[in-house]
Amino acid sequence: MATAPVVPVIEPSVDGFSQDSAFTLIADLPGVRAGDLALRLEGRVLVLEARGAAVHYRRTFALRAPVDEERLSASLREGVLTLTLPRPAPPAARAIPVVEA
Amino acid sequence: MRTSWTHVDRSLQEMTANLHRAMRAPAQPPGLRVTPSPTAAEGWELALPLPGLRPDQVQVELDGDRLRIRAERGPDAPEGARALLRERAAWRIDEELRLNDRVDTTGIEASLADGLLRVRLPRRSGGARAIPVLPR
Repeated sequence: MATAPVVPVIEPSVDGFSQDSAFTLIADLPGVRAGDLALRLEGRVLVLEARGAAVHYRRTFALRAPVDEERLSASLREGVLTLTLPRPAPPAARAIPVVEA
Repeated sequence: MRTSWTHVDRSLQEMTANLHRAMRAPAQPPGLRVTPSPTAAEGWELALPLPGLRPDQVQVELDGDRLRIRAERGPDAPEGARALLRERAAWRIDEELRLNDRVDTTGIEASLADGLLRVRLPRRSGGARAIPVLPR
């Protein structure tokens, strides 16, 4: 009886960059298509999971700074994921009323 | 002379080790893999992760029974960014694999999709071949 082969789960290699407006994460995910990739943010922990042709990828990242969850963007090209994690926009300037003491 | 398949296996192991060294990522996904095709009777499939490369950036050549794979990936850091973590090295691969006589070298095909190179190595058809006996 043939049993389903156990698919190894490995951590992908990544680069991380900090820019003024965002963090960028680049991960090598050869053999992965967009439909086989799952990204989710659990509080400050980013979870990356992907099913490749012969291996599965999984890695978690603890984010040290807040990111704007609503504006996350990801693209997958030639098996390389580029994930942009924008920093939150600074709060709009707010006039502080001065009251007479 | 019969070429032993274990010779190819050994070459493959050496290649895999070389690739790991070349890619400087010992704990990384298996480099080059050769596995039987889904229908094993068809032959074998060679798979090599080449993330970030397009087909025109990979050279696969066959010279006699030698299959050569060359590819190079340069640095791809975004401009004006401060690196927090660098694990994805730039690398260059130049490997040669000697195929044994069970591979039909006329039917080899290569494709690259999603950063994964696949080379189909079809099995030479039929070990035994009937030789027609003709009347004189």
